[in-house]
Amino acid sequence: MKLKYEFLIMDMGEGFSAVAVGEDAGKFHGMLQLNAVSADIMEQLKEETTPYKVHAYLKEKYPESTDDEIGNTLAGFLTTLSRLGLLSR
Amino acid sequence: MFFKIKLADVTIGVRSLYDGIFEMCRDYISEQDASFTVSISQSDIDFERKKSADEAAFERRPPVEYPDPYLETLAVYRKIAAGLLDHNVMLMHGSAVCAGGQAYLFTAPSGVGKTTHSRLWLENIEGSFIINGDKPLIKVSDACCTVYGTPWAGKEGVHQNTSAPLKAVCFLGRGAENSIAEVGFSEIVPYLFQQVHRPASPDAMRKTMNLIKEFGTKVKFYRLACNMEPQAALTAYEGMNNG
Repeated sequence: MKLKYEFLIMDMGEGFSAVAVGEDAGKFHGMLQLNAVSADIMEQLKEETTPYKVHAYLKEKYPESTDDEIGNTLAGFLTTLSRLGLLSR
Repeated sequence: MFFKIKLADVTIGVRSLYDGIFEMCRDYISEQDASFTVSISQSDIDFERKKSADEAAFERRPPVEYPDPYLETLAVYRKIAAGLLDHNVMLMHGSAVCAGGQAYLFTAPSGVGKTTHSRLWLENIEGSFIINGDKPLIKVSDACCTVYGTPWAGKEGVHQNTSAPLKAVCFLGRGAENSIAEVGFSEIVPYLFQQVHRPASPDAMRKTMNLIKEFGTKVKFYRLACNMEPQAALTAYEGMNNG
């Protein structure tokens, strides 16, 4: 799985924002407001990856979170990205 | 033809195919050395025509066949906006009104009433005038943000070659009654993104996002629900000055 479009993700001080850039700028006109974990997931999705790899990455970065918490957060955000048509699987 | 204009204290060379852009920029002509130059080719004009058609299709309205000289003005401003990012200047869609030596930027989706509300200020706030009614430039500096007039000023074409420190940004919405409330930056970020010029290149977009972030630390943001009565202007003015 991978993001369909090229995204720029930036820390805006009070959360993260993601916008489509480059040749894809015209394909997604919106903007995503993200928390730190969602921003991390999007960064991982810039390259072809798997849910398992992203889960492992998050587990290493957020060791205080349980597998279930990470799994639920990841599944929820992937569903959101799919619903928005931003994820290719 | 070639000429130079000064926008947001930056002198810019313009190499155009048509004369109309020179006439449009007459109040902003400069003889100083240019910091950068924008050159227009037929492919830039064709890009604007395609973009206009794409936007019409996206908004499900019939396409308008604009003449090349008009499309050239859009191409010039697009390139100028990209170049000005290196000078910490961004283009924002909105109506910038000056009152008491300070600027107030009213922004909203098309059709909500920026022009109407700005006119209410001119009629009800003594000494107020419009710096730019549609696409002002905003310079973000260490001390403050400054709004500059430009000749790109929408259908009404109201602008002045002047500047003023930006006191607040006000997001307009229609309401039966008039009310205003201050809102936080995080709440307003998505709306800001809708109103700034969004360049396609990742580098330019990164600069834009950095400017928006800085902008958010220097300016207050308000949400105004308003009708078309004179009281709307007074509510906005008092809310942004005494609230």
